[in-house]
Amino acid sequence: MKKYIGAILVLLAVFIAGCSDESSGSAQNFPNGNIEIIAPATPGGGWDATARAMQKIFDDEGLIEENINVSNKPGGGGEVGWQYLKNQDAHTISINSSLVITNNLLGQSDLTYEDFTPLGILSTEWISVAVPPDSSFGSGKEIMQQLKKDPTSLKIGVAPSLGNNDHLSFVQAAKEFGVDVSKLEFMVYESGGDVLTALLGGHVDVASMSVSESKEQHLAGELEILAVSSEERIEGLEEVKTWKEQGVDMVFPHWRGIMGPPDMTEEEIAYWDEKIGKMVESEAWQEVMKNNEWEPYYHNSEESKKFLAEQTEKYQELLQQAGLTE
Amino acid sequence: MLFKNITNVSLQTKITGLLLAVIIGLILILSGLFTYSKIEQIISNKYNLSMQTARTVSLLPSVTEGLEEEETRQSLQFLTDQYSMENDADFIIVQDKDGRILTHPNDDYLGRVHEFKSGYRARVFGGYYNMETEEFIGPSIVGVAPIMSSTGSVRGVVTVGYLKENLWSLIYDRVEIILYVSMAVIVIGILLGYFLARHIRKEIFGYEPREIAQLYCNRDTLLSSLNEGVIATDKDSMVTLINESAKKLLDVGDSYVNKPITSLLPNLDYQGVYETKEGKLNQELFINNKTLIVNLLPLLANSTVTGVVVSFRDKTEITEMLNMLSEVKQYSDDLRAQTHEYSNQMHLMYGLLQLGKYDEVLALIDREINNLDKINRSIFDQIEDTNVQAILIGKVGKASEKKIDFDIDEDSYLSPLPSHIEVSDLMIIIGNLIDNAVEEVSAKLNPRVSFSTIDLGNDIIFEITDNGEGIDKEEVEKVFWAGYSTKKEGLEGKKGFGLANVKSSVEKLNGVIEVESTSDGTIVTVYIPKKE
Repeated sequence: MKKYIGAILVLLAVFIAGCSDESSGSAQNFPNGNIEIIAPATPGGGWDATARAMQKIFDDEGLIEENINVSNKPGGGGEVGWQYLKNQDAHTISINSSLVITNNLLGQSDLTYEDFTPLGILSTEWISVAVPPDSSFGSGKEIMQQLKKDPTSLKIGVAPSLGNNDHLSFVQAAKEFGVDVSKLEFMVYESGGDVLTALLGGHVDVASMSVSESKEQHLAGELEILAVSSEERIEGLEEVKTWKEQGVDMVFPHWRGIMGPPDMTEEEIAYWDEKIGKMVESEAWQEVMKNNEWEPYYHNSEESKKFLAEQTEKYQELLQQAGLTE
Repeated sequence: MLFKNITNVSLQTKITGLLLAVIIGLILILSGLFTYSKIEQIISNKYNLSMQTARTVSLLPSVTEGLEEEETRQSLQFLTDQYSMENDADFIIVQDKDGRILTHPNDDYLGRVHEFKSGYRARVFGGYYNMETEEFIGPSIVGVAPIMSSTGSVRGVVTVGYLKENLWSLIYDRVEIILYVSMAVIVIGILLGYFLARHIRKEIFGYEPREIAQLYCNRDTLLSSLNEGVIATDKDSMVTLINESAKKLLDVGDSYVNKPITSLLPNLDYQGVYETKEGKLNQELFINNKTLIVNLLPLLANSTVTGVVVSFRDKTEITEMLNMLSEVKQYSDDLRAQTHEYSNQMHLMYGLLQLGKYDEVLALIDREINNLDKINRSIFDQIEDTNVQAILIGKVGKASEKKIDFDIDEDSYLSPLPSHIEVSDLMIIIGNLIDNAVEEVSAKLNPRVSFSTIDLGNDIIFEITDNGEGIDKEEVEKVFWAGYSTKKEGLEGKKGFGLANVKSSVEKLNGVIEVESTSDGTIVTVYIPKKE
């Protein structure tokens, strides 16, 4: 009996030694191959722009010497790219957003942020509510008052699907105001451009879209922004009041972040914390923020983990019917 | 009290109970686990199925159409009924975006507007999800899916549900079989327990364990109270038991258990006992300077020999008793001799008186009185111990009959002896030594034996001197060995043990014997300490 225990112990020791050798070896040499940044969408959107900006800055500033590629993996609201990420090693990272939380809550995906390693939150943009220039509404509050009276009286345009931030932001504002949101009439369009066309063509009365999509038209007088979801008024849109100022107590960031595959080692996380932390401080990054109407919103890996947990709670609450708890 | 009752039940009940407890415990745990996993499985199955069905129904083009047009609602109900049947769903409820119920298992509900509760997340956010709700019909597991327009806005909601009460009966159906199997196993357990207990009882002659323990205790006490040595063996002649007396007689410890008995008591016919199944009694065995009388008895169970019981006692002990007896007999002989001597002298005096030879009678009496006085004086005045007096008087008579000059030293002096020196020891020591001396000189011309004693120091000293032929130097050591004898003949059984007994008695009293022998005679001196 003793003999067997001895043999098992020896085997175990060899096994453990083998394991630790392997992991410490890879940690010392990380990174030891090409870096891949996943944009889980088609080229041209916010995710793609973020990924490419990162690639450029890592490269230009000499932060990372290895080859860096951007892969576009569109489909399923990020699902395709994230499923791919799940089976990669720490050389592959991916852009994410609130969809990594809401997809699961709305039954579109089995993945949650807990299936990955949060590496950072990079930027945010804010969401605006816009009406045509000839609209009778003068403020966001007036829209809400009308909806409270009759939730079905207005058609609201969003893109590209229900459950995204543009939609959720409007629902949350309406909910805060006491509107029966289950009767609201949302019209769903394929892109922000289509919503704009619908708004200008009178097919919808109100549109919810990101500031980056509406700011230019607002400044050109083609539509009017009545409310923004930010904490404070937005630079260049100083005349537009926030929801808070209009008596609707809510702030709704449309954030974008970065995450790695599951089970990353402390060393790998530390590596990315250092690189991303340096990147967001570079001037080139500030330039990217400005050009895209984004705001810096940096959280490191530790803070992102906490932030994602808070966001998950917030979205769960939002998806809950008012006055009901699951 | 209760616990005492539990421990006090019969072996049968104990074994059956224990077995039953183990089996029932195991079955409870296993069927509990099984049931739990079944329930999990069924519930997760229903979750998936309701979600799938809801999704499928929500995507049917005819459903999307049915939301819009009154006429097709009847066919909508028909469609969902069909899906309910195919998927065993208890209900499929389709609501339009205002919450109006378009299909329902109960026709009464059709057309009513029902505010969204469980359908809220599907209606507002286009979510697909499972939940548990009591909203429709009863407590149920539901899958909820939105019905989307081609652009992606929500046109209605499908809720597919399984009633929990039906799930319970489904679970019960699955678990029922386990109940039957469990019952069967318990019955088998009872039977097994019963047979096992019966088998064990049979092995132990139907005794309860505590009865066996009682017997065992009795046996131990019994064996240790015996003066006889007892050794038992198993069927391979290995020692299984050895009692205190046996250990003492053979001078061994417990380590002899499980060793062959031949290493303890060799040269005995054990094989014969195994073969004949009959005991062998009163066999003599000389071992450890002792002669043992050994009885061999077979241990019989169902007429096969399962071992041997050996009982034995020290023959030396028996011999000592014999010696003592013969000693006593000797004294009565000695006294008879003295009486005979006395009557002889009476006859002589009578004759002389008849003849009128008064002077000679006077001279005879005078001589006798002198002689007696002399002896009595030393015996009664100087030797104060009555036991020693008695022994000496006896020996004087014996010597005078044998016409041996027995002389007690005039300088002898002995106070009463301390109580730890017993009469039997004195009898053995003094008696044997004088007897031996008398024996030694009996064939000589002018035989003389003298006895002297003194107790002035720390020791009591006895000295017996004879004028015999002495003992050779090499023989001196041997005379005290049991079984050694210089005598040609003697009492049967007594032969050779006299001096050995003297030696063991002296040693018992922490004394010493010294023998000094020349061709002119032998002096034996015994020193016995006064203090114990």
